[in-house]
Amino acid sequence: MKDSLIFLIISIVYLTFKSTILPTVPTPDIPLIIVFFMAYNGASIKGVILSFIIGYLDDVLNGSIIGTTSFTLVFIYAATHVLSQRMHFSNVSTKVFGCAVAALIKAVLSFIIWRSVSHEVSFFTQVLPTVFITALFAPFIISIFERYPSLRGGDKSEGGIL
Amino acid sequence: MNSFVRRYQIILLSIIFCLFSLNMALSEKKTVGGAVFIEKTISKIFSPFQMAFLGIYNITSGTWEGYVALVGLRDDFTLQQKRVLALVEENNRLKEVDHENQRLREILSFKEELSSNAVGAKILAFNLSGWTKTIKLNKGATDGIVEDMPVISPTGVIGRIISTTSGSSTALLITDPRSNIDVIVQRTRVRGVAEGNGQNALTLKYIRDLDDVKKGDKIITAGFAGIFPSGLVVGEITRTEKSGDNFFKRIEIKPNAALKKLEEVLIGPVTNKEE
Repeated sequence: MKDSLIFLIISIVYLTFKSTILPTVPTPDIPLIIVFFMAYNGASIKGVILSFIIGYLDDVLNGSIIGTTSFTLVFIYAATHVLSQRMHFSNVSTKVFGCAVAALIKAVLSFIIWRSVSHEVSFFTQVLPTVFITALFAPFIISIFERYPSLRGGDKSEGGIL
Repeated sequence: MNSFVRRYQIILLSIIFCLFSLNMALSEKKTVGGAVFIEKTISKIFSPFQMAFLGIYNITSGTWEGYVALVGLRDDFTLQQKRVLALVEENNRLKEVDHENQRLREILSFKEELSSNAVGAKILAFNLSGWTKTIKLNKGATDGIVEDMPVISPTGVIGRIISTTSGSSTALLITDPRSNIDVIVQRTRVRGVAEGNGQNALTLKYIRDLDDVKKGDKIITAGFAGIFPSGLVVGEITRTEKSGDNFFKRIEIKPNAALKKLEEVLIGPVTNKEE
């Protein structure tokens, strides 16, 4: 419970900071990194719920299409959980790769939703800077989380093995 | 069955949440019971934090700008440095007050020119990442703000209100892909729809290849949809080319209002004095 609260607070601070001080600067997608970290470090039911809540908060505070980010984050959480049964995100290169792929998947899913509700948006100009910066900062942010054992929550046996 | 559910509970729960989120997104949340109340509550809770963050940032950046040029002089002018630093801080504060006065005078004279019941508002937060382009304002339902009210500035149209709480409101900028404005080309009176492109511009749609429209033409609101009055400046055409279908042109508009540099705006029903 404590780890969930900490991640929720970090996400809230990030979303508030981003909307007030750095609205136009591409910043690493910290909620996505949190979801990725939670998923490969022992997925759990509370992780799924937290991913949904963080995504919902992101949509509400951004004024975006409600449901977009919550859908993408929960999807990424489940996908990372399944993938973590087969590969270990134990070194920097796999974490960078994993975060970059997660950011790209998030962008693709968001793009599909926006196009599905008949809004024409351009994919590459909005997506690539965020993907690059997220992948760049992911190892640094994940290494901070890994220093605190209480944040490496979740039981690897919970939720089944595919 | 129980063992199956227990074994795959994370995947099953994820599927449920994904479907729920997808339903909200594809129905654009209107049909989800209680969701609007939750969003308003969240927005209301976060407004004071956003105001606090912005306040701290403004104080810090003002102080930094006032001091950074003097670092190299610290060793040579100790007593004078303290006096100069205090004067610089006061000077920055007065400059900021002067700039704010100038902006407010512009808005006030613009408001008088429009003969409106518009309400002035300060911007609390920007959301310009990804495809979403919205701003949060410090006026809400208690100030008479309702959804679909226009948001404008002396330089042009900014957007419209999409949600309100008691003390704040969220405005959809004209560059958001969900924004559509009935517009006309000022020079030739050709009518079209200006839609945000999710970046920092708009796309002018439904202009035929044979319509007389060219780069540099001013785009103004047509006033047909009942949200924006007619005659307000939206932007200027920066690019026009034939589209692949050989029927409509592909036209890009640069907004007249400097959307990233906004600090105060006007919200509310406006009528042109000429009408």
